[in-house]
Amino acid sequence: MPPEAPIPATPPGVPPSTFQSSPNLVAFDPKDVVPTQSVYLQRNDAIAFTAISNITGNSIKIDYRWLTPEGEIKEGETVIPPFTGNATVIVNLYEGWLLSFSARLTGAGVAGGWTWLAGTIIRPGYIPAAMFNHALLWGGFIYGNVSSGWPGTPAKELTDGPGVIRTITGSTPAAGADINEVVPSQRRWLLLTFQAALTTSVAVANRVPIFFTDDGANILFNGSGVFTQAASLTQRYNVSPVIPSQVVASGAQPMSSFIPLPLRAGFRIKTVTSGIQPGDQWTAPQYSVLEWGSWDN
Amino acid sequence: MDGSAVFGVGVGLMGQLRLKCNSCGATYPDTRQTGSLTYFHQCPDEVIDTPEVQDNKGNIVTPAKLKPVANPRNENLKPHPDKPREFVMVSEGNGVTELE
Repeated sequence: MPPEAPIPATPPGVPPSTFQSSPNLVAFDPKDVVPTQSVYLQRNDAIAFTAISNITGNSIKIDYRWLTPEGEIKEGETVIPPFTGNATVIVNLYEGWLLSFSARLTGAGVAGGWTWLAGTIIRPGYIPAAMFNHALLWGGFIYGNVSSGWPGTPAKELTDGPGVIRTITGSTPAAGADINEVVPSQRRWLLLTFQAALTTSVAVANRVPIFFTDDGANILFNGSGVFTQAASLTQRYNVSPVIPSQVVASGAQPMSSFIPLPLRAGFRIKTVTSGIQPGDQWTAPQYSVLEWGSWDN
Repeated sequence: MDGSAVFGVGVGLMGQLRLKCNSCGATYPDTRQTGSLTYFHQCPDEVIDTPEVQDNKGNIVTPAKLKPVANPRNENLKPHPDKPREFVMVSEGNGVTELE
């Protein structure tokens, strides 16, 4: 009888934890079972994640889970790389039921920023025009500090919600030029406030700033105040729905406009200063808007 | 540009890099840095060519003459005509010059 191997002494102290593993106790038999959701991904189907944002260079991390025909739940992740404007990534799951996806901005949220994402079942085409969109799974806003996705947060259209308050410093015009701000593509604004200052040169002339809004071609509204600015003065102007009958003694002079003022992409907010001289200088306009994205342009 | 000034002892007011449009001469904050909120400059259609002339009572003697901006810049994005799912600027114009 061979001698028994010596039994090693148990080291003192609390025994170390042991790694435990076991197969899932729950299995799924998807054969002849009605799926939990009505959209089943066939082998040539794919999921397109389309994002639009007013944040420069942000990226989106999307995690998803799906149930394979073999009854196994798989997990995956995709990232929409840093983009400006719009971006799309396409994910192929081969075959199965999509169980969930959640998305989050990889960077911190930005005050005044918004990002909207939609997940769509597609049959990919070489060009977007040849791509078949079969079903919209979910659309909604994505944040930096918390995830959103499907199923979970209720879907929202791009124009839903209260809008995002943005304060914008516009373009400083060249000397002798007027202010010209344009609502960007794929945006919808509600103008809340608008102000800028005009410094007139020594050239003798009476300047009268007029506030204009147009749709890019047709004037929608124009209004001025009661103040005539002479040479060598600096005066600040605010748009206001109320114009007093006399010049304001100090502070900003009002220019007439309806506010809040709804605007869509391509609409312009500008000044036309009667009597402006080559050495006159407007500051960059400072204005606040409620902003939404928009797909209709 | 959205943001706030940073104040501190011994620290000056640091502005963001600005761009100057070489088509219309306007200057605006550079929002190309990651995390900035987008701002798309678009040149006006017309600028003053010859200013208005008034008499000593402020009446217009000669109205201002306007001229179109040559080769205007429009930074708004449009779908790339050759590359699906990519976007390009509507028109570069005469480009921009970086200022500080």
